Amino acid sequence: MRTKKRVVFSLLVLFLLSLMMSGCDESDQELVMGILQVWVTDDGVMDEVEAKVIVDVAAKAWEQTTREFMNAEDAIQLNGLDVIDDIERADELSKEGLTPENEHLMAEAIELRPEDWRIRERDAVLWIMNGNSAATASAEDKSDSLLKNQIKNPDNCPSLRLQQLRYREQTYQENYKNCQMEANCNFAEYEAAHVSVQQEIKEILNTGQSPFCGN
Amino acid sequence: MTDSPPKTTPPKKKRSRSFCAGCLLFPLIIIAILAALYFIGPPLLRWLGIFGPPAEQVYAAAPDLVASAQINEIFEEQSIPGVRVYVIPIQETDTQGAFIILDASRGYLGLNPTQGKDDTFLRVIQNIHQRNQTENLRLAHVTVEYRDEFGEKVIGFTVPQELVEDYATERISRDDFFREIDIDILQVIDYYNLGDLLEEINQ
Repeated sequence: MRTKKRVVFSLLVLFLLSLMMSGCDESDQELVMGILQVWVTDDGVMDEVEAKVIVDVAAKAWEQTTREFMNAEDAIQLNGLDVIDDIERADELSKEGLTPENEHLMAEAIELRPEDWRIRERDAVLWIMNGNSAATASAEDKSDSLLKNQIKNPDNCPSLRLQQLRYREQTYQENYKNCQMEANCNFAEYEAAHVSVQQEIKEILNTGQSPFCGN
Repeated sequence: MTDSPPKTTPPKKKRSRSFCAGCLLFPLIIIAILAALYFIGPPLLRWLGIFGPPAEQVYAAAPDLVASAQINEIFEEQSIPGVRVYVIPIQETDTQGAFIILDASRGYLGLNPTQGKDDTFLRVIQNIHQRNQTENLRLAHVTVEYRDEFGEKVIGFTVPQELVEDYATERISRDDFFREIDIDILQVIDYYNLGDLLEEINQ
Protein backbone atom coordinates (compact mmCIF):
# COMPACT_ATOMS: atom_id res chain seq x y z
CA MET A 1 0.00 0.00 0.00
CA ARG A 2 2.81 2.31 1.02
CA THR A 3 4.49 1.48 -2.30
CA LYS A 4 1.31 2.42 -4.15
CA LYS A 5 1.14 5.71 -2.30
CA ARG A 6 4.72 6.44 -3.28
CA VAL A 7 4.04 5.73 -6.93
CA VAL A 8 0.97 8.00 -6.87
CA PHE A 9 3.06 10.62 -5.16
CA SER A 10 5.83 10.27 -7.73
CA LEU A 11 3.37 10.69 -10.56
CA LEU A 12 2.00 13.78 -8.83
CA VAL A 13 5.51 15.18 -8.55
CA LEU A 14 6.10 14.48 -12.23
CA PHE A 15 2.88 16.22 -13.16
CA LEU A 16 3.61 19.22 -10.96
CA LEU A 17 7.12 19.48 -12.30
CA SER A 18 5.86 19.39 -15.85
CA LEU A 19 3.61 22.35 -15.06
CA MET A 20 6.14 24.28 -13.08
CA MET A 21 9.32 23.78 -14.99
CA SER A 22 8.28 25.04 -18.39
CA GLY A 23 10.24 28.17 -19.11
CA CYS A 24 12.35 27.92 -15.93
CA ASP A 25 16.11 28.21 -15.92
CA GLU A 26 18.35 25.81 -14.01
CA SER A 27 18.44 27.76 -10.74
CA ASP A 28 14.63 27.94 -10.66
CA GLN A 29 14.44 24.21 -11.23
CA GLU A 30 16.87 23.54 -8.38
CA LEU A 31 14.82 25.78 -6.10
CA VAL A 32 11.55 23.97 -6.93
CA MET A 33 13.17 20.58 -6.41
CA GLY A 34 14.64 21.71 -3.10
CA ILE A 35 11.21 22.89 -1.90
CA LEU A 36 9.60 19.61 -2.96
CA GLN A 37 12.28 17.64 -1.16
CA VAL A 38 11.86 19.56 2.10
CA TRP A 39 8.08 19.32 1.84
CA VAL A 40 7.90 15.55 1.42
CA THR A 41 10.52 14.99 4.13
CA ASP A 42 8.83 17.25 6.68
CA ASP A 43 5.45 15.80 5.89
CA GLY A 44 6.74 12.33 6.66
CA VAL A 45 5.72 10.99 3.25
CA MET A 46 9.20 9.56 2.81
CA ASP A 47 12.67 9.89 4.24
CA GLU A 48 15.32 12.23 2.90
CA VAL A 49 17.14 9.72 0.72
CA GLU A 50 13.93 8.49 -0.89
CA ALA A 51 12.74 12.03 -1.47
CA LYS A 52 16.00 12.98 -3.15
CA VAL A 53 15.84 9.94 -5.43
CA ILE A 54 12.22 10.58 -6.37
CA VAL A 55 12.74 14.26 -7.05
CA ASP A 56 15.93 13.60 -9.05
CA VAL A 57 14.24 10.87 -11.09
CA ALA A 58 11.21 13.07 -11.67
CA ALA A 59 13.42 15.95 -12.83
CA LYS A 60 15.39 13.65 -15.16
CA ALA A 61 12.18 12.14 -16.53
CA TRP A 62 10.78 15.58 -17.22
CA GLU A 63 14.00 16.68 -18.88
CA GLN A 64 13.95 13.59 -21.09
CA THR A 65 10.28 14.09 -21.98
CA THR A 66 11.06 17.64 -23.09
CA ARG A 67 14.08 16.51 -25.10
CA GLU A 68 12.04 13.75 -26.72
CA PHE A 69 9.34 16.23 -27.67
CA MET A 70 11.97 18.46 -29.25
CA ASN A 71 13.74 15.47 -30.83
CA ALA A 72 17.06 16.52 -29.32
CA GLU A 73 20.15 14.61 -30.50
CA ASP A 74 20.36 12.20 -27.54
CA ALA A 75 16.60 11.58 -27.68
CA ILE A 76 16.85 10.71 -31.38
CA GLN A 77 19.65 8.25 -30.61
CA LEU A 78 17.66 6.60 -27.80
CA ASN A 79 14.55 6.47 -30.00
CA GLY A 80 16.76 4.81 -32.59
CA LEU A 81 16.42 1.69 -30.42
CA ASP A 82 12.74 1.57 -31.46
CA VAL A 83 13.89 1.75 -35.08
CA ILE A 84 15.91 -1.42 -34.40
CA ASP A 85 12.61 -3.10 -33.47
CA ASP A 86 11.21 -1.99 -36.84
CA ILE A 87 14.30 -3.31 -38.65
CA GLU A 88 14.03 -6.71 -36.97
CA ARG A 89 10.28 -6.91 -37.61
CA ALA A 90 10.70 -5.90 -41.27
CA ASP A 91 13.47 -8.52 -41.67
CA GLU A 92 11.19 -11.20 -40.26
CA LEU A 93 8.24 -10.16 -42.43
CA SER A 94 10.28 -9.98 -45.62
CA LYS A 95 11.78 -13.43 -45.01
CA GLU A 96 8.35 -14.93 -44.37
CA GLY A 97 6.97 -13.02 -47.34
CA LEU A 98 9.32 -14.67 -49.82
CA THR A 99 6.68 -17.14 -50.99
CA PRO A 100 3.89 -16.18 -53.42
CA GLU A 101 1.17 -17.09 -50.88
CA ASN A 102 2.71 -14.75 -48.25
CA GLU A 103 3.52 -11.81 -50.50
CA HIS A 104 1.30 -9.50 -48.39
CA LEU A 105 3.96 -9.82 -45.64
CA MET A 106 6.55 -8.41 -48.05
CA ALA A 107 4.28 -5.40 -48.63
CA GLU A 108 4.05 -4.92 -44.85
CA ALA A 109 7.84 -5.05 -44.55
CA ILE A 110 8.23 -2.42 -47.27
CA GLU A 111 5.68 -0.21 -45.52
CA LEU A 112 7.60 -0.54 -42.26
CA ARG A 113 11.03 0.25 -43.75
CA PRO A 114 10.44 1.92 -47.12
CA GLU A 115 14.02 3.21 -47.49
CA ASP A 116 15.81 -0.02 -46.57
CA TRP A 117 17.26 -1.44 -49.81
CA ARG A 118 17.64 -4.94 -48.29
CA ILE A 119 13.85 -5.36 -48.22
CA ARG A 120 13.68 -4.39 -51.93
CA GLU A 121 16.28 -7.06 -52.70
CA ARG A 122 14.01 -9.71 -51.20
CA ASP A 123 11.05 -8.16 -52.98
CA ALA A 124 12.94 -8.59 -56.29
CA VAL A 125 13.48 -12.30 -55.59
CA LEU A 126 9.79 -12.69 -54.71
CA TRP A 127 8.82 -11.27 -58.12
CA ILE A 128 11.21 -13.63 -59.94
CA MET A 129 9.46 -16.48 -58.17
CA ASN A 130 6.14 -15.08 -59.34
CA GLY A 131 7.48 -14.92 -62.90
CA ASN A 132 7.03 -11.13 -63.10
CA SER A 133 10.19 -9.78 -64.78
CA ALA A 134 9.03 -6.16 -64.89
CA ALA A 135 8.32 -6.10 -61.14
CA THR A 136 11.72 -7.74 -60.47
CA ALA A 137 13.53 -5.05 -62.45
CA SER A 138 11.52 -2.33 -60.73
CA ALA A 139 12.36 -3.69 -57.24
CA GLU A 140 16.09 -3.86 -58.07
CA ASP A 141 16.02 -0.35 -59.55
CA LYS A 142 14.39 0.87 -56.36
CA SER A 143 17.04 -0.88 -54.27
CA ASP A 144 19.79 0.76 -56.37
CA SER A 145 18.29 4.22 -56.09
CA LEU A 146 17.88 3.85 -52.31
CA LEU A 147 21.55 2.94 -52.02
CA LYS A 148 22.54 5.91 -54.20
CA ASN A 149 20.57 8.25 -51.92
CA GLN A 150 22.39 6.77 -48.95
CA ILE A 151 25.88 7.52 -50.29
CA LYS A 152 27.10 10.88 -49.05
CA ASN A 153 30.79 10.41 -49.80
CA PRO A 154 31.58 9.09 -53.33
CA ASP A 155 34.74 7.39 -51.98
CA ASN A 156 32.50 4.97 -50.06
CA CYS A 157 30.44 4.07 -53.14
CA PRO A 158 32.32 0.97 -54.41
CA SER A 159 32.40 -0.67 -50.97
CA LEU A 160 28.71 0.02 -50.35
CA ARG A 161 27.80 -1.27 -53.83
CA LEU A 162 29.85 -4.39 -53.13
CA GLN A 163 27.92 -4.84 -49.90
CA GLN A 164 24.64 -4.58 -51.78
CA LEU A 165 25.70 -7.01 -54.51
CA ARG A 166 26.90 -9.57 -51.98
CA TYR A 167 23.58 -9.29 -50.20
CA ARG A 168 21.80 -9.75 -53.55
CA GLU A 169 23.93 -12.79 -54.33
CA GLN A 170 23.25 -14.27 -50.89
CA THR A 171 19.49 -13.71 -51.29
CA TYR A 172 19.61 -15.46 -54.68
CA GLN A 173 21.56 -18.37 -53.24
CA GLU A 174 19.24 -18.78 -50.26
CA ASN A 175 16.22 -19.03 -52.55
CA TYR A 176 17.76 -21.07 -55.35
CA LYS A 177 15.94 -24.26 -54.34
CA ASN A 178 12.66 -22.44 -53.76
CA CYS A 179 12.77 -21.08 -57.30
CA GLN A 180 13.22 -24.58 -58.70
CA MET A 181 10.13 -25.71 -56.80
CA GLU A 182 7.88 -22.74 -57.67
CA ALA A 183 5.81 -23.33 -60.79
CA ASN A 184 5.94 -19.69 -61.94
CA CYS A 185 9.58 -19.04 -61.15
CA ASN A 186 11.55 -18.05 -64.19
CA PHE A 187 14.61 -20.16 -63.51
CA ALA A 188 16.54 -18.99 -66.58
CA GLU A 189 16.07 -15.36 -65.55
CA TYR A 190 17.02 -16.25 -62.01
CA GLU A 191 20.32 -17.78 -63.12
CA ALA A 192 21.08 -14.96 -65.55
CA ALA A 193 20.51 -12.35 -62.81
CA HIS A 194 22.72 -14.34 -60.44
CA VAL A 195 25.54 -14.52 -62.99
CA SER A 196 25.42 -10.78 -63.72
CA VAL A 197 25.65 -10.02 -59.99
CA GLN A 198 28.70 -12.24 -59.68
CA GLN A 199 30.34 -10.49 -62.64
CA GLU A 200 29.88 -7.04 -61.08
CA ILE A 201 31.25 -8.30 -57.77
CA LYS A 202 34.37 -9.56 -59.58
CA GLU A 203 34.76 -6.25 -61.36
CA ILE A 204 34.70 -4.28 -58.10
CA LEU A 205 37.11 -6.68 -56.44
CA ASN A 206 39.54 -6.49 -59.38
CA THR A 207 39.40 -2.77 -60.16
CA GLY A 208 37.96 -1.18 -57.01
CA GLN A 209 35.47 0.55 -59.28
CA SER A 210 31.88 0.05 -60.36
CA PRO A 211 29.78 1.43 -63.24
CA PHE A 212 27.10 1.97 -60.58
CA CYS A 213 29.34 4.63 -59.00
CA GLY A 214 29.89 6.37 -62.30
CA ASN A 215 33.53 5.35 -62.73
CA MET B 1 -61.04 61.81 -15.48
CA THR B 2 -58.59 61.51 -18.07
CA ASP B 3 -57.69 58.23 -19.56
CA SER B 4 -54.27 57.39 -18.57
CA PRO B 5 -52.29 55.95 -21.38
CA PRO B 6 -52.10 52.23 -21.16
CA LYS B 7 -49.05 51.08 -19.38
CA THR B 8 -46.54 49.85 -21.78
CA THR B 9 -44.24 47.20 -20.61
CA PRO B 10 -40.77 47.64 -21.96
CA PRO B 11 -40.06 45.08 -24.60
CA LYS B 12 -38.12 42.13 -23.28
CA LYS B 13 -34.55 42.29 -24.23
CA LYS B 14 -33.94 39.50 -26.59
CA ARG B 15 -30.82 37.56 -25.93
CA SER B 16 -28.41 38.30 -28.61
CA ARG B 17 -27.81 35.22 -30.66
CA SER B 18 -24.53 36.58 -31.79
CA PHE B 19 -23.42 36.85 -28.15
CA CYS B 20 -24.27 33.19 -27.62
CA ALA B 21 -22.47 32.20 -30.78
CA GLY B 22 -19.51 34.25 -29.56
CA CYS B 23 -19.53 32.28 -26.32
CA LEU B 24 -19.32 29.05 -28.23
CA LEU B 25 -16.93 30.35 -30.81
CA PHE B 26 -14.32 31.56 -28.33
CA PRO B 27 -13.48 28.15 -26.81
CA LEU B 28 -13.63 26.62 -30.28
CA ILE B 29 -11.07 29.13 -31.53
CA ILE B 30 -8.86 28.43 -28.52
CA ILE B 31 -9.13 24.68 -29.14
CA ALA B 32 -8.36 25.19 -32.84
CA ILE B 33 -5.30 27.31 -32.01
CA LEU B 34 -4.05 24.72 -29.51
CA ALA B 35 -4.62 21.90 -31.99
CA ALA B 36 -2.82 23.88 -34.70
CA LEU B 37 0.09 24.51 -32.31
CA TYR B 38 0.24 20.83 -31.42
CA PHE B 39 0.10 19.52 -34.99
CA ILE B 40 1.70 22.31 -36.98
CA GLY B 41 4.13 23.60 -34.33
CA PRO B 42 6.57 20.66 -34.23
CA PRO B 43 6.87 20.26 -38.05
CA LEU B 44 7.32 24.02 -38.35
CA LEU B 45 9.98 24.05 -35.64
CA ARG B 46 11.63 21.06 -37.32
CA TRP B 47 11.65 22.96 -40.59
CA LEU B 48 13.25 25.91 -38.83
CA GLY B 49 15.88 23.56 -37.37
CA ILE B 50 14.82 24.15 -33.74
CA PHE B 51 13.37 20.64 -33.32
CA GLY B 52 15.22 17.61 -34.66
CA PRO B 53 13.76 15.08 -37.12
CA PRO B 54 12.15 11.86 -35.78
CA ALA B 55 14.40 8.82 -35.31
CA GLU B 56 12.50 6.83 -37.99
CA GLN B 57 13.62 9.43 -40.51
CA VAL B 58 17.20 9.75 -39.22
CA TYR B 59 17.80 5.97 -39.30
CA ALA B 60 15.63 5.16 -42.33
CA ALA B 61 18.49 3.76 -44.43
CA ALA B 62 19.56 0.12 -44.48
CA PRO B 63 22.13 -0.91 -41.86
CA ASP B 64 25.78 -0.94 -42.91
CA LEU B 65 26.23 -4.71 -42.98
CA VAL B 66 30.05 -4.66 -43.01
CA ALA B 67 30.35 -2.18 -40.13
CA SER B 68 27.72 -4.11 -38.15
CA ALA B 69 29.70 -7.33 -38.66
CA GLN B 70 32.91 -5.56 -37.61
CA ILE B 71 31.43 -4.51 -34.25
CA ASN B 72 29.73 -7.88 -33.81
CA GLU B 73 33.13 -9.55 -34.20
CA ILE B 74 34.37 -7.67 -31.13
CA PHE B 75 31.79 -9.46 -28.98
CA GLU B 76 32.52 -12.80 -30.64
CA GLU B 77 36.23 -12.38 -29.95
CA GLN B 78 35.43 -11.77 -26.27
CA SER B 79 33.10 -14.85 -26.35
CA ILE B 80 30.06 -12.76 -25.40
CA PRO B 81 26.89 -14.40 -26.79
CA GLY B 82 23.41 -12.87 -27.21
CA VAL B 83 24.59 -9.61 -28.76
CA ARG B 84 23.18 -8.07 -31.93
CA VAL B 85 24.74 -5.03 -33.59
CA TYR B 86 23.26 -2.64 -36.14
CA VAL B 87 25.33 0.19 -37.56
CA ILE B 88 22.96 2.55 -39.32
CA PRO B 89 23.83 5.54 -41.52
CA ILE B 90 22.63 8.85 -40.09
CA GLN B 91 20.53 10.77 -42.58
CA GLU B 92 22.13 13.80 -44.24
CA THR B 93 25.57 13.04 -42.75
CA ASP B 94 28.52 10.84 -43.60
CA THR B 95 28.46 9.31 -40.10
CA GLN B 96 26.76 6.26 -38.60
CA GLY B 97 25.20 5.24 -35.30
CA ALA B 98 26.05 1.89 -33.66
CA PHE B 99 23.19 0.16 -31.84
CA ILE B 100 24.17 -2.74 -29.60
CA ILE B 101 21.49 -5.01 -28.14
CA LEU B 102 22.62 -7.11 -25.17
CA ASP B 103 19.82 -9.64 -25.00
CA ALA B 104 19.68 -12.05 -22.03
CA SER B 105 16.77 -13.88 -23.71
CA ARG B 106 19.16 -14.82 -26.52
CA GLY B 107 22.04 -15.92 -24.36
CA TYR B 108 23.70 -12.74 -23.15
CA LEU B 109 25.13 -13.72 -19.79
CA GLY B 110 26.76 -10.50 -18.66
CA LEU B 111 25.36 -8.02 -16.25
CA ASN B 112 23.51 -4.87 -17.02
CA PRO B 113 26.47 -2.88 -18.48
CA THR B 114 25.89 -0.02 -16.04
CA GLN B 115 26.34 -2.40 -13.07
CA GLY B 116 29.20 -4.72 -14.08
CA LYS B 117 32.54 -4.14 -12.42
CA ASP B 118 34.84 -6.27 -14.57
CA ASP B 119 37.13 -5.05 -17.35
CA THR B 120 35.15 -6.64 -20.20
CA PHE B 121 33.16 -3.49 -20.78
CA LEU B 122 36.34 -1.39 -21.02
CA ARG B 123 37.88 -3.90 -23.44
CA VAL B 124 34.78 -3.80 -25.65
CA ILE B 125 34.76 -0.01 -25.67
CA GLN B 126 38.50 0.06 -26.49
CA ASN B 127 37.95 -2.35 -29.39
CA ILE B 128 35.05 -0.31 -30.76
CA HIS B 129 37.25 2.78 -30.67
CA GLN B 130 40.10 0.92 -32.39
CA ARG B 131 37.91 -0.53 -35.15
CA ASN B 132 36.26 2.80 -35.71
CA GLN B 133 39.68 4.25 -36.48
CA THR B 134 41.25 1.40 -38.43
CA GLU B 135 38.18 0.36 -40.44
CA ASN B 136 36.79 3.87 -40.95
CA LEU B 137 33.37 2.97 -39.52
CA ARG B 138 32.52 6.69 -39.16
CA LEU B 139 30.70 6.20 -35.86
CA ALA B 140 29.05 9.25 -34.32
CA HIS B 141 27.54 7.49 -31.31
CA VAL B 142 27.20 4.13 -29.59
CA THR B 143 23.76 3.31 -28.22
CA VAL B 144 23.28 0.25 -26.02
CA GLU B 145 20.16 -1.57 -24.90
CA TYR B 146 20.03 -4.28 -22.25
CA ARG B 147 17.12 -6.77 -22.39
CA ASP B 148 16.26 -9.25 -19.63
CA GLU B 149 15.78 -13.02 -19.91
CA PHE B 150 12.23 -12.45 -21.20
CA GLY B 151 13.45 -10.08 -23.90
CA GLU B 152 11.96 -7.07 -22.11
CA LYS B 153 13.82 -3.78 -22.43
CA VAL B 154 15.48 -2.87 -19.14
CA ILE B 155 17.71 0.06 -19.90
CA GLY B 156 19.02 1.98 -22.86
CA PHE B 157 21.79 4.53 -22.97
CA THR B 158 23.64 6.47 -25.60
CA VAL B 159 27.20 7.75 -25.73
CA PRO B 160 28.77 10.19 -28.19
CA GLN B 161 31.82 8.77 -29.95
CA GLU B 162 34.11 11.41 -28.37
CA LEU B 163 33.21 10.07 -24.93
CA VAL B 164 33.87 6.50 -26.10
CA GLU B 165 37.33 7.67 -27.21
CA ASP B 166 38.01 9.42 -23.90
CA TYR B 167 37.09 6.28 -21.94
CA ALA B 168 38.88 3.90 -24.32
CA THR B 169 42.10 5.87 -24.03
CA GLU B 170 41.57 6.09 -20.26
CA ARG B 171 41.49 9.88 -20.29
CA ILE B 172 38.37 9.58 -18.10
CA SER B 173 37.41 7.01 -15.46
CA ARG B 174 34.55 4.53 -15.63
CA ASP B 175 32.57 6.68 -13.17
CA ASP B 176 33.13 9.81 -15.27
CA PHE B 177 32.04 7.85 -18.33
CA PHE B 178 28.75 6.74 -16.76
CA ARG B 179 28.13 10.22 -15.36
CA GLU B 180 28.21 11.63 -18.89
CA ILE B 181 26.06 9.07 -20.72
CA ASP B 182 22.41 9.74 -21.53
CA ILE B 183 20.18 7.09 -19.99
CA ASP B 184 16.60 6.40 -21.08
CA ILE B 185 15.20 7.14 -17.63
CA LEU B 186 11.58 6.70 -18.79
CA GLN B 187 12.47 3.15 -19.82
CA VAL B 188 13.97 2.45 -16.40
CA ILE B 189 10.87 3.83 -14.63
CA ASP B 190 8.66 1.76 -16.92
CA TYR B 191 10.60 -1.43 -16.23
CA TYR B 192 11.19 -1.19 -12.50
CA ASN B 193 8.35 1.16 -11.45
CA LEU B 194 9.38 3.73 -8.90
CA GLY B 195 8.15 1.85 -5.83
CA ASP B 196 10.37 -1.14 -6.57
CA LEU B 197 13.24 1.17 -7.39
CA LEU B 198 12.99 2.83 -3.98
CA GLU B 199 12.81 -0.50 -2.18
CA GLU B 200 15.92 -1.64 -4.04
CA ILE B 201 17.74 1.57 -3.04
CA ASN B 202 16.70 1.11 0.60
CA GLN B 203 18.03 -2.45 0.77
